Amino acid sequence: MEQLKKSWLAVLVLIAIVFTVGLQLGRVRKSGRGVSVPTAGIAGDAMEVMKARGLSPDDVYGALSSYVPTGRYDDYLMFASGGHSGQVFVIGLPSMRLLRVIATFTPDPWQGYGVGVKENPFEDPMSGRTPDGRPVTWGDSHHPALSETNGDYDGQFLFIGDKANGRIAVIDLRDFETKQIIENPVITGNHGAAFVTPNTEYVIEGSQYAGPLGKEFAPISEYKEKYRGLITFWKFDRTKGRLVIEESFALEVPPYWQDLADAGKLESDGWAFVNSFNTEMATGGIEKGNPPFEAGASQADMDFLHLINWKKAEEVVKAGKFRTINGMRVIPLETSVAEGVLYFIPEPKSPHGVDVTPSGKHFVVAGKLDPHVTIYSIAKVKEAIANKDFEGKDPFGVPILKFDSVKIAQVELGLGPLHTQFDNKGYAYTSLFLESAVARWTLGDDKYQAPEKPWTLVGKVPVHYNVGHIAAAEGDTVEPDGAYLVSLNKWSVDRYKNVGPLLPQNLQLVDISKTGDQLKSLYDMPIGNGEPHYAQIIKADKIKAWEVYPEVGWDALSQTKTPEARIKGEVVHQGDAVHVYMTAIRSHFEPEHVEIEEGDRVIFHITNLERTLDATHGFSIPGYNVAASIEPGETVTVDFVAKRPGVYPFYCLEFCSALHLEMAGYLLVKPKGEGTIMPQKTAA
Amino acid sequence: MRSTRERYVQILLVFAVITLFLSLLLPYWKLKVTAPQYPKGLYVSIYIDRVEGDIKEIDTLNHYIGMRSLDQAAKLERKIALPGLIVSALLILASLFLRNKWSILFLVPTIVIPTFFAIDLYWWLRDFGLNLDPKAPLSTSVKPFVPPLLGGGRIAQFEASAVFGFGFFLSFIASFLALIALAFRFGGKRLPWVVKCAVLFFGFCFMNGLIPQAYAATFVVGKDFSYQTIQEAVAHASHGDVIQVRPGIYQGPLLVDRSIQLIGEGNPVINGAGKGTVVRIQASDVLVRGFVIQNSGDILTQEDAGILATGSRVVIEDNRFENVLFGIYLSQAPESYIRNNFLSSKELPVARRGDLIKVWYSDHVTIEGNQTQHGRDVVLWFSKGLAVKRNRFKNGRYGIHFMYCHDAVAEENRLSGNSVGAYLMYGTNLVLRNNQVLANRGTSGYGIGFKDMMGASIEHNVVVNNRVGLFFDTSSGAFRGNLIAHNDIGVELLPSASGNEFHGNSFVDNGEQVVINGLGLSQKNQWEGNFWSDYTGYDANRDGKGDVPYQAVQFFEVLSTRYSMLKIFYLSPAEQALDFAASLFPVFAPKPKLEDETPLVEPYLPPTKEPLEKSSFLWILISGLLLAPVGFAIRNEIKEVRVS
Repeated sequence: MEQLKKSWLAVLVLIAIVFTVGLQLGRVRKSGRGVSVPTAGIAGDAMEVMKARGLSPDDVYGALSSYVPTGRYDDYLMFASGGHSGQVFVIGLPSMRLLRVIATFTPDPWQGYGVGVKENPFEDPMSGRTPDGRPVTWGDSHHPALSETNGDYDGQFLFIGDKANGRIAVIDLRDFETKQIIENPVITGNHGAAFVTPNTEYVIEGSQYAGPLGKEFAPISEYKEKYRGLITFWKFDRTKGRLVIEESFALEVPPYWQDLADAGKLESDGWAFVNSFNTEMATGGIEKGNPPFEAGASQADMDFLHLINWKKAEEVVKAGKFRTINGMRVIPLETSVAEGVLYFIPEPKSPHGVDVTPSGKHFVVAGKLDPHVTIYSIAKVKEAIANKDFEGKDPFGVPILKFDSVKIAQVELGLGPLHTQFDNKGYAYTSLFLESAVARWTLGDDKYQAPEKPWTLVGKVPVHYNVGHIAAAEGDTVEPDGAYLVSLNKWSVDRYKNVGPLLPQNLQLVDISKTGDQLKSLYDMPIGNGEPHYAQIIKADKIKAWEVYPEVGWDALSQTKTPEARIKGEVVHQGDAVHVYMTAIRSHFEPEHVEIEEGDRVIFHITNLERTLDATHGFSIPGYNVAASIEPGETVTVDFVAKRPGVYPFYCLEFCSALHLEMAGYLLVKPKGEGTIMPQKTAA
Repeated sequence: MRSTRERYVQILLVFAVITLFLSLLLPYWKLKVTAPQYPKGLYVSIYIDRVEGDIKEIDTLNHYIGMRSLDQAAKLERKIALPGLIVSALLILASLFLRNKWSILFLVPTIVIPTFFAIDLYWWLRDFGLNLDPKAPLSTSVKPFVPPLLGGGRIAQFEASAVFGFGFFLSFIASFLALIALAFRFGGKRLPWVVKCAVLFFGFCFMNGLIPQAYAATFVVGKDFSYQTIQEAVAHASHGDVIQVRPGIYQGPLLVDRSIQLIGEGNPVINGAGKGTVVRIQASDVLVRGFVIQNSGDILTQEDAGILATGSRVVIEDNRFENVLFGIYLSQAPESYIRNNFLSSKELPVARRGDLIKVWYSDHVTIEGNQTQHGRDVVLWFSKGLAVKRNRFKNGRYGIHFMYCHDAVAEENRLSGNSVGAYLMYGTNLVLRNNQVLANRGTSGYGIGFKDMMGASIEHNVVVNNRVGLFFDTSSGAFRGNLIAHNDIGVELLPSASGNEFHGNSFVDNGEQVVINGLGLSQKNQWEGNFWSDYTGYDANRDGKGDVPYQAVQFFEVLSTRYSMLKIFYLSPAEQALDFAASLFPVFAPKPKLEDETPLVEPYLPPTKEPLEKSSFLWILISGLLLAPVGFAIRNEIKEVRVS
């Protein structure tokens, strides 16, 4: 009897399970995101694999949803900052495969970046110099921003801030290479960088730790009087692909430790939003018995969201109401107040993200220590400004809009909300740092409308662990894509085989394509190279990258054809300089003998003549710290003084063909004149 | 000539004997300990042969810091004191008849008695203070110290002052009479010198024993009194003065900028009229008792509060806070007391309200017997050695939120109907004991949540009917004897939570007993000897422990996180069928989440106390007094500590 009951149950349950799994797989197929395995295959072999590898249905679902077979492409590209590796990671979604590490603030020999090749942004003195005049060769890359047209990613450029050194880098997405690094001349360090206005008119850079403007000295006791924050609007010249300091301007703001930023769009176009988290103006000094910064800067219940009318600021600058500090036009704080450029809005303390919804009507602030997110309305903001509906003024005279007049909702999500993204179903997603989860909730009166009641929490998915930022597919544009979300987790703890005490970060792919509380974590990707702080995900087909450089003889820094390119190798002596016009094609350099004299300045102009996809050549000079990557069509310059006589074999660094090893040559540096330290002549 | 002198000697010695005997009746040394919860003070009097006074109270206080009980002290001395004194007296009498220089020896005991007493007492104080029991509840926070022989000192909120008693002075007099007698007998012309010395010594005695208490003035504020407003009285008061406030409505804001006591009689009201903070305390050693504090402003950026205190050792007790945005806000106000207050916030959405109790950067604060409702959070920041006891925090957002607080103790609180009961973040050595955590069912709905907590000790708590009883993220602690019952999820662990020990807890009828959130195994947590209501094993040998291990392997959990529609079958026969099926289809069988090898067969129920709300005010007072020693628990550093 008991036996009979058991087997009945078993049969019933088996049917239920097969049905449900089938249902899920059917859905996956319908959604058509790169998965089209016949269902019949699952029942047989795949079940065997599941059993052998001990996979749960969840695991299988995750694997099938994210797998991209060979030869097929990912649907999205994610640009993730590389933290203090100083680089930018390019990751394909949904496969979570690392496609490229773009050398940005840190030299990388594979890309021939910052290691002896002249065409690199470190050559520009504006890119930052150490006190002894050398380039700064690392950065803390934090927030990437794709260029936008009408508030949507246009796939042309990527900007990223270097928090430590207060710099912005410009990456051209035609060749995924860094074209410019520019250091803010007025203040040290940034955090609210980079964020772009809806047509990439400006790239916003907000400082973090306040300091005396002009990078001068002032004692900490004069914090309130002398220390300031700075919000810089870097003008972007799209045709040149450069930030132009002459057309840029900045706003002096109180020393409140400004944080992240976002630019308004559509209804909120013309406004910029910047968080802050030390409106207490705490100055720390735990060793002197003062509360440490962490306590002092988190004491007050509210901080101030900075609301900047950047279009008005443009006019103010045009009217000449600025002072110039180290070449940057800076609008003084009192001018901003007088001209209505700057307002404050109370925001729950220690906020991190400020994120504008797809309609541009609302902006969302998450204070890490408040379980609610707070949503403000730009219409109400404008109304409050018009009515002078102020709660008061801060110590610097900046008007504070009345909290209750400008907020339209507060939604309780859970513990430690941090950063918000959006989809095309009317949902917003907020990372919950303290809870290690991502919450989904509904917007009200926005571009899209979710089926559930507005302003309510509808679901949560646990992530591992300590999620910082999240990135949803095109999730901060006027037209988000939904589909995927990536949770950028700060800690991985037990997720991977331990490889020593420095643990990788954990990026988790979450399926957000369904509605309601159906959120599914699909795949974990470790990043063992820097800490991604922030990412943006763009539809892959928006990126139109070159396969090879457009013309042979391309200078990739200026993105033009260079007159130094040759299609035939030659050596030209010009005074004490020797120009070596060299070509590279599978699999030889021309010339292969470069004979110069000790003390000569030798300038290689190496052109890769190839027009074939992936036929990259490299070039190296031993002992001179030279590594070049010469992609098809590219011309690079290597310039040094041959101070040490000897024989230097150079070779191609990329395995370019079957005779790659043979692709080599000699740099022969003859000792200068007679009686030198190397007496023997170069052989008979 | 000689005989007249001898006569003086005899008289002096007879007086010495009398004073010596009289000293038996009077205390030799007196200690007075005052603290906010002991407004009249505690006394200990040491006689030559015994100790009297509030010994039990003092002993209870002392045991928290690991000091031995007073009756352990000077046992031998007390035993020999009486016979010794009698012998000394007899020796004096004997010396009346023995007039050679050996009579000096006969007087020596009497002469050295006071000195010996003082040295011996000091030795014992030192011995007691420096040898604290390392296993005492507060051993980690109280370092050994030497209590004062004379004068004042502080330990925690306890103000101690020690003086020599009259008994000691009498023995001193006896000693001097004997000395003078000797001087008369052998000293010749040195008499004036001896007399001078005697005068000096008597002066010394008076200096120590008879200095009158500092005069503290009392001001009365009220309609028919000289001060109409509290602010006026404050302006005229000086350090240590008392301001009594008669019933009435007084307009705020009030600024207290000096160390005074504000005592409301008949619940006078301080009304903030909807603007700013009602009472600001900017001095140390301020007491505010017995007021109704109402109508603060409602601007979050200003943190409009009922009371904002920025001085040390502030006592805020027996007040009622109504319609205030923030309630009591301590900012760098160490060693303060928040006690027996009732607080409620404004009629606003929860996120828009303020924190009814906010403690920021204030070490060793005690929060005791308060009641909050409809506020936002009770939030404790960056403060060491907090004691949170016997409070009721209900219908708010965070019942208690510890942020970066080390060495805190939370006992016998009731946290109910909040969004989250208690959330503990980034702290070490936190103790949660005998709390009731009930029906906290907000969006997170954690009864008690742990985030990056190290070394928490969670004992005998009752955690019932929350969305999630206990939640863990990268934390470790010891969980003993807790009752975790009728929560949707009993314990939810992120796989990163490891090093937790669960012993002797009862997991009763939680929707899901233990959930490990996100795939992974909690192999590094210990589960031993807990009661599991869904345990299906047996106890053949009747040792109270199940003979087969308890294993949490529930298939339904895996499926239901996958297919949320299945949640409607929660706890239904279908769920059990699925669970059962899991054992038949190994391909789907998840690995066991946890295994308890010695499950209890009977649940353990933590002792519960009488609910606070039913008790009378008197009861609160009495229990406050009973609990007062616990106040000691908030200390972790001793500056100039002196108490016996």
